[in-house]
Amino acid sequence: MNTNLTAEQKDYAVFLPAVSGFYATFIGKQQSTEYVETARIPKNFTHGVESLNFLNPSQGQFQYKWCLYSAGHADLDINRDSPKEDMFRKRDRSTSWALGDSGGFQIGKGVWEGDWKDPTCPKAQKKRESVLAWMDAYMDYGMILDIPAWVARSPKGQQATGITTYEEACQATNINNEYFMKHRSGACKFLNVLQGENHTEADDWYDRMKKFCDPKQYPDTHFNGWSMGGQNMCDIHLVLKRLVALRFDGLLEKGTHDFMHFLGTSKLEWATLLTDIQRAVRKHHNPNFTVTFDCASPFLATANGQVYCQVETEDRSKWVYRMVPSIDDKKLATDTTAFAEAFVREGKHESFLDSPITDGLQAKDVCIYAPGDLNKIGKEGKTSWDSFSYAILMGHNVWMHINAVQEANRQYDQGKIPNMLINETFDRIMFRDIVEAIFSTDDRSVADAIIQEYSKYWMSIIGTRGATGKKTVNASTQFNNLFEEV
Amino acid sequence: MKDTLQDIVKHTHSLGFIDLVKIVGDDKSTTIDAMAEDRSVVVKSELKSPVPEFAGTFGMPNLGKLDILLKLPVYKDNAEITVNTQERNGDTVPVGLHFENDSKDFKNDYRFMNAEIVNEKLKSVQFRGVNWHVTIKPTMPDVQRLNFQAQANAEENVFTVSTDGDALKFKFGDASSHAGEFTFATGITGKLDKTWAWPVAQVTQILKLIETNACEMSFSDDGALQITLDSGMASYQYILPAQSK
Repeated sequence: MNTNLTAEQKDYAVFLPAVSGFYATFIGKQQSTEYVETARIPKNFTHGVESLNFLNPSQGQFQYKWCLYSAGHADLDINRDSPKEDMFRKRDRSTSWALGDSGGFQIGKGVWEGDWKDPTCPKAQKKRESVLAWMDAYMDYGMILDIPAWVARSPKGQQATGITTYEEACQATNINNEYFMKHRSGACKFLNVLQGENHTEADDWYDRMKKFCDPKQYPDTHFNGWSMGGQNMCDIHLVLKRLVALRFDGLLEKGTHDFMHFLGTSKLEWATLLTDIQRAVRKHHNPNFTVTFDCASPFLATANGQVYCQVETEDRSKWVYRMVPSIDDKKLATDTTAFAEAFVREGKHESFLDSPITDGLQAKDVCIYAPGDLNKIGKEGKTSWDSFSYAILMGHNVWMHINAVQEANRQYDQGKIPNMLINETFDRIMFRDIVEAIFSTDDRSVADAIIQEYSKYWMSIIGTRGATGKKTVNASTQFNNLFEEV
Repeated sequence: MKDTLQDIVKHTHSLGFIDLVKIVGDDKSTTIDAMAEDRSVVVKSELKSPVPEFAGTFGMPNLGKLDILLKLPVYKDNAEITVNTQERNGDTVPVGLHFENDSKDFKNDYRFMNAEIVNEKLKSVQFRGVNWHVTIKPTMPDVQRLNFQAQANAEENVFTVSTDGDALKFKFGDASSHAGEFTFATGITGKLDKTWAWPVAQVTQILKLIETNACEMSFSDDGALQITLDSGMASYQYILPAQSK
């Protein structure tokens, strides 16, 4: 079992667990108070609750230096003591690396109200200021405060933000970008988020926003890399088109634009294809180029009572990290059986891959409530879990997800191929070979032609969300061109 | 009334991708608007003889249910279908259809969607207009040949259209896949410079109605396809935005 996942990372595209506020709260609060009673902490946690802090290289049960944390659920007041934030506020910046998500999602969903297309709106301005200050204070890299193009389709978002069209989303993002550029301290490096719901919109968004990464236009304040949102994050055709455009537009330069992040990417196959891309760009253009991608699956799965139990990387098949409902039974409240053993014994799945979190963990450490026990609010609930049970299994799921990503890359390097990245219908077409061909040429038209030649193949590489597969070809672009709402 | 309703259902719901239509009517006209959920087809129609009872704006949702009611044998002969109305804000508005069989012992009510909700769910869209570069009147055999290719290339969601001299050619697939091509029409005037893609399922479903309709197809280099069907009771315009990534 690998405990030092930082060391195991090699030259793979970097997965960033999108740490939940719930999880970070346990780690942060325990650093200054006994938030979790000592007696509640499993015996195998050698450094108490801090054992869950994978950013801590000396005390974490396992180590992994990279992650994403969102301003959307952080305490943004940097002048106020906030123990729940201390996993990030007090982390050692020399041994960890955090990417800050900006909260564009919260704007899109209407959680952060304000008239975002009005640069003088006090509500929006307050949020703009606090997000920037928070990023500069605590994050190594951060996303600019983009307004996703899909807000125009979100009734709640429209109502709360005053943004009803793609055009207005662009305008509002522009306002935020100008503000960030003017007021950033330089402590945090910023990724220019690319949005758009189809190729046409994505191209348009790029054309409007690329200037913010251009050192010629903004020598001292330009943004420092890219973040792929909207259709850009799930449509490999668009990803490759954009990378070629960036390369030949001089916006993928060593030391200037070294990072590209993919928002909300959970497909295991993408862990390997993003490594292919990273390697090809490093080899042929920018040796510093680093691809990162995040998802919150380990945390969301736990919140739904699911636990990761297995990684499946059979050659020429679908690659998955398998998650199933965990044990949750009050009769296990005194059961000292190893968690993994109890999980299999209770028929949850035929096997359970232990993590450094579950290695030595007992069933009773998770199933804490016995029949008749009252929970924190003085009631007898249905579940045997307390809130710390969730934190424990989140820690396990984080290790499992990172390990799955790294295992996928190891298997890929050893010649096993996920079905999605090879097509043997007529000829043998391998994703990595096409990517190599695209980036090995110094001629943009040749690179573009290769991408276009495989237009259909790209549709077999399914992304996490958005228009994927055959749905990448749709009527949305032309509908927008031909019709107007009245 | 029954014939009109059957005509509307046949030209919308039976296509398989429309389950809601918006009716806007007064004493001079009755118009029908609909749209596929994925915006692949926009339908605009006007009844040749307005239905006076369809005064105002309302939606016909769950068209599958209306289709069933219209096909029930019990309502086949001498059934009475009337429009229910209510007073709302001083206006008399249609709120549904009442079905009653000949012997008055079998009844159904089909509810309309009110104007506010249908306007939210089915926003009115205005076609900006394009130049139509090629217009043809397809025949049953043409449509049959299209269906043959669609069958043979069932994995393809779209086909492309191009002109070659006076021939209009439809193509399925490309060099990277199985492929098929055929001449859909000859003797055309006009020329297409751009090879747009069109949705196979939607086009073939609409063209199935050619059996009972006069049909005209117009293609534009601006990425629009219009199929016009004249059922005798109404003229239905189906405007399809081209498919692209």
